[in-house]
Amino acid sequence: MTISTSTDLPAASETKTPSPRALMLRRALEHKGFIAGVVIVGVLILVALLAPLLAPHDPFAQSLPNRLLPPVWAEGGNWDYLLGTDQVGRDYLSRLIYGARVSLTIGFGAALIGMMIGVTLGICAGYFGGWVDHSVSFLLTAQLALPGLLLAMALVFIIGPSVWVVIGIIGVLHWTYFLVVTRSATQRLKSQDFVAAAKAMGATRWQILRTEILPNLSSQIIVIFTFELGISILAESSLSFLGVGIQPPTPSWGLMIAEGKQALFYRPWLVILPGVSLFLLVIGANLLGDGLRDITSPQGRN
Amino acid sequence: MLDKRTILSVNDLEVVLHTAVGDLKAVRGTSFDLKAGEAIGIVGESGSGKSMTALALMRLLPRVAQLRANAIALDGVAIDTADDREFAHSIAGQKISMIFQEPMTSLNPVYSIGRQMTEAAVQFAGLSPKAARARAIELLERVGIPDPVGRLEQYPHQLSGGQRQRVMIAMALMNEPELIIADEPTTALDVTVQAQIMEQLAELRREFGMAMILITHDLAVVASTVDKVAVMYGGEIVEKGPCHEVLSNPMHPYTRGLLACVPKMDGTPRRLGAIPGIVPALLGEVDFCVFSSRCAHVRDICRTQRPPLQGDGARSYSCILTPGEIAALPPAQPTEEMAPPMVETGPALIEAQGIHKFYRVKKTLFGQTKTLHAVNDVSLQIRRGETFALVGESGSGKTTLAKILLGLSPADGGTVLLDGEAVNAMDGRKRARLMQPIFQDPYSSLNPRHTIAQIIARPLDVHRIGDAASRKQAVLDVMDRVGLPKRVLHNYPSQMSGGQRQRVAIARALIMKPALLVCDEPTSALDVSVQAQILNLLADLQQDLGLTYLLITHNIAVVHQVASRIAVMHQGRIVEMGEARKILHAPEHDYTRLLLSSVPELAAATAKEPVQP
Amino acid sequence: MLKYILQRGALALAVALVVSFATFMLLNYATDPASALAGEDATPEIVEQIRQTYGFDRPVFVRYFEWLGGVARGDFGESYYWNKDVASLVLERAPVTIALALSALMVTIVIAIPLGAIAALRPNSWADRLALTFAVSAQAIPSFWLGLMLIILLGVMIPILPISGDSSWQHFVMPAFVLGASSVPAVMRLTRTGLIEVMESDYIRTARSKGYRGFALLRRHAMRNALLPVVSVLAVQLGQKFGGSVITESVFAINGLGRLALQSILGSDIPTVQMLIFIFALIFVLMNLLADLLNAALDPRIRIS
Repeated sequence: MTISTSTDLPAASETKTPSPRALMLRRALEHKGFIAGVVIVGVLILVALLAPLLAPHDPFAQSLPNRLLPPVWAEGGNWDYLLGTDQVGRDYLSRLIYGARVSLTIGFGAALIGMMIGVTLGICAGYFGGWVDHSVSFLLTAQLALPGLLLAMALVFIIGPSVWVVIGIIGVLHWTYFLVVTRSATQRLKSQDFVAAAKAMGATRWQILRTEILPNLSSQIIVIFTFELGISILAESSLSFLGVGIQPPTPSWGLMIAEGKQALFYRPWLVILPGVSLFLLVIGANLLGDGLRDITSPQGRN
Repeated sequence: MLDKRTILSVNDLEVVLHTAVGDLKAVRGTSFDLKAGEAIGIVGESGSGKSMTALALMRLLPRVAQLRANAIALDGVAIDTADDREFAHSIAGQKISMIFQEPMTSLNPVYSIGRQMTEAAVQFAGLSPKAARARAIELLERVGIPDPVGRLEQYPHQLSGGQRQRVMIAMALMNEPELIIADEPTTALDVTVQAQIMEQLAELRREFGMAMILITHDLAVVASTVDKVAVMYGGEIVEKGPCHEVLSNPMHPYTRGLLACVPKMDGTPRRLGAIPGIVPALLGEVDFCVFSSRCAHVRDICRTQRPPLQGDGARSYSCILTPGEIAALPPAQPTEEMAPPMVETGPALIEAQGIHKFYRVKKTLFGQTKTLHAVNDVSLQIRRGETFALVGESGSGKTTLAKILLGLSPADGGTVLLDGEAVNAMDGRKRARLMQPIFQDPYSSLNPRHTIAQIIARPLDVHRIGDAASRKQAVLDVMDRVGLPKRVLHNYPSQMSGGQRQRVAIARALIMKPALLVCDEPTSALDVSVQAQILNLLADLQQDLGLTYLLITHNIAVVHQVASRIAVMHQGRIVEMGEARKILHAPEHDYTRLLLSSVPELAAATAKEPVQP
Repeated sequence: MLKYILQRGALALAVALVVSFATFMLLNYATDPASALAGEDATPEIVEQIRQTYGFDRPVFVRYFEWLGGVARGDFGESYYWNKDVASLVLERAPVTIALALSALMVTIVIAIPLGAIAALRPNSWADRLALTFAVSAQAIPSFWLGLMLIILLGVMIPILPISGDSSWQHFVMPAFVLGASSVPAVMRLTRTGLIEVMESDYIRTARSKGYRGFALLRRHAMRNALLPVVSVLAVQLGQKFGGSVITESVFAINGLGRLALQSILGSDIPTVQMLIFIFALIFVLMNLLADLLNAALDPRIRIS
């Protein structure tokens, strides 16, 4: 007897289901929040990269005659200084543009460090279980118990503030979200039959982690990365605002708010403008994260 | 029957699902009547619309679904147009009750059994708390729950699945409903529990004089339980009539095909009939016969016109073919007999001696561990070329044993020799060449991030066999063997149906050319028509490639269809082992007898007259 | 049940010990407290003298256990910066921060839970979208900036609230709102997701089949299940409010523990900083323990196993 009698060819219609990639692209193009996030973050990354070309002035150049100029739309503003100047006469627009660099560098750097720590621990805890999992869970509880901001302040202050120290400390303190998600996802994946199939075909532990587990985690990791990007940027701005982060004269948005605070009542734009910049960048990152989550797992909204 | 009043009449029920890709009519033009005390079975495969019909009657449709109907009347009162609050407070749970499929999740985990049973009776039916409690105790006792008074204070997690389903049944009876809707009430349960619960349901129905709608995919369950049956396909009732008539003399090509797919328990196993393809998604207007894409007797007109309704109110079907033409059709099931290969002698491929496995179960969140003897002194031999079936219910230890035989989990005692070599000392590559698994759930056995080509070639990657070109050729060859078309090569699993995925899993297992396939419930996640395709495929592969199968299953009918020898497992032990035919026809152990008598039989009902309440 | 409490309690204690040890190491070992204390201009001799005076030259383990022993006896150490014992400093400043944290938690609960519930009951409706937009925006606002904006709005433009200090309840309105708002997105999303999940569960379908609808369904069958995870998160958030008080208190010039922490850091006052971090961690751990107990009380699956 031949095989062909039992093949029962499936109906042609079912292969019309689009591929996961095509589906994702379609969902992405229909997702307004995602598009907004891409545009905001994309533009701000471009601004940061092209800062020397875009900034009309040297962000460090002081000009005492031009102190505390208002933005162009306010009374007394002029076109040379579109967004006015600060207390020592530096062009505010140029400082804001360079501030994007600081925020994004620290955001990406810290999120990257957090990702490496969290994902490694999460996969190990989820895959190996047992005492590894118990130790990692304990570490997680301990990390959550620590007042992160306070510890970061103390460490930055003691070690000495620099961009790299701030990146390192924020990164080392922000891995829990990565850990929690990759751990539970790995636990779920580990019990799937395709992992058992890989074991049965003689695949090594490393092959299983790399080929079966990791590809299924990637979209979730990217989603968390975008959220952590926003969280790290906010953390940096808080540190700098409190005076234990980026130090003057480097233009950091948080620091600019702290410097502008003295003039809060009569030159409020010195506080409003960097705050709006921060808000835009972080909301862009969050919209991107929300959007990516909806796009990659339409069922798992929130 | 004639003197009984009609208590439910459904006329032209339609359920529309608003989906992202358009409106989908999940149920179309469904009509049926139900007399007091009568039971109707609504049978269909997944996607047939049977559950949607039940949920629509109970007004439990999901948010995206919309109900339309010409008329639905309960006892002559329109319920489709009734105000939702009015329906909720005077009909739901009082005149119509429902039992759901998943007893594990259908009870609220944070409230006691007593509270959940009595609250609606007190709030909506006006019983005093005391009276409601007394009735709950009486009903729990009636459905066979020991210590009903104590149970009222307990929480769902303290009960087994079977007990929870009994509680659900007792809860549904609290207000003495006239109609009970049971949606796959025993599908999640073991076969012995399933038999008890179905029997109990039938008894209670007679006692309380209730009508019942039984929703199920299992033709055999319908056969022994209901008076009449409606067969649904693609959102429509394609055939309905008295149960024994429909099952013994099916008219619609789909019903005929479906019955031919069901493995029978009597006589010599025959090759199963198979309905090719899968249920099509029906978006927009349906102005053709829904079954035309899979029908063996399709005519051109079927694709452009709705089929006519033939027959009368009591017995009807929707098909262009007249009863005369149908009677002249060839039988839907091939007459070819299947002979599971009997291997009397020869070397054992797997030889297990005195296998033990213990699990330490944490009884509470901490401390107090209890030792569970999952596999207890099991010895068996699987000979080259035979199909050895390991049969048992959940918790019998069969899956644990299979993992030990596969070398995926170490035994706590005993030895397993695979082709004469200890399996856990064996090199992974060598073991993989001898033995490959097929899993139950084709949705979890394929990595969603890889294409079909990558998945099937994976064993070659892992063992670094051949180059890209030879791997591709090997993949194409094995796809051809299992009946997968070339065009799905670069598809992802999400683009394939359950049956196709199972073929992919089989292809992946075959690419290493193993001697033994370990099939763990290979068809229990599939619809019966797809199960037939896979069982036929496995039989053909065995014949052509001389494969040995170790089949792990709870499904006795499947065992009857394909097994040469069987071992019956119960509580970690093999209670009976030997030639399949002998054990299935003359079981010796009590547990085997119980197991076999619990299997619902299609044949029994097709012969006998309807059960009268 | 008793074992469960003991187990959770032991875990909490272990976490507190590990956290205190880690902080101690970081603050005293990874850095040089003597040179920090001596200031930037000090000569090596002065630094060495300080090191010996305060015993910084002894092994860090010994000093940790001395410190721990002191804490156990209620001796929190001496602040070099404030010239006071840390215990009295903490006691002086604690009431304001406790009041602030609790009122912030109230703000969170009052805004987040109703908003999450409304969003969950009508998923994808305009109310849901509005609530989610609000959550996304609130998550992106730096809380110090929100504080400054409120000061401009309610302190200067429409001067109805005092902008700094802690002498009346009005002083707490803006700070509590700012501190509470930072937790709103997380709690709101969790309420929403939890409730949506519960409303789609099989047991809610069972309750509907028994005739429950609308508010009765929500109250009698969905609320407790949906609130279980929220209770845990609220406790965690309350624990974090103390750490978060650093920013709020410095924006609104409130003399609480947060401001004390900032001042001590800027003054290199390691013993005070060490103690504050320990106290905040301890509060967090205790809140977590409380959440575990509440969950056990509400969930029979934990209570009876």
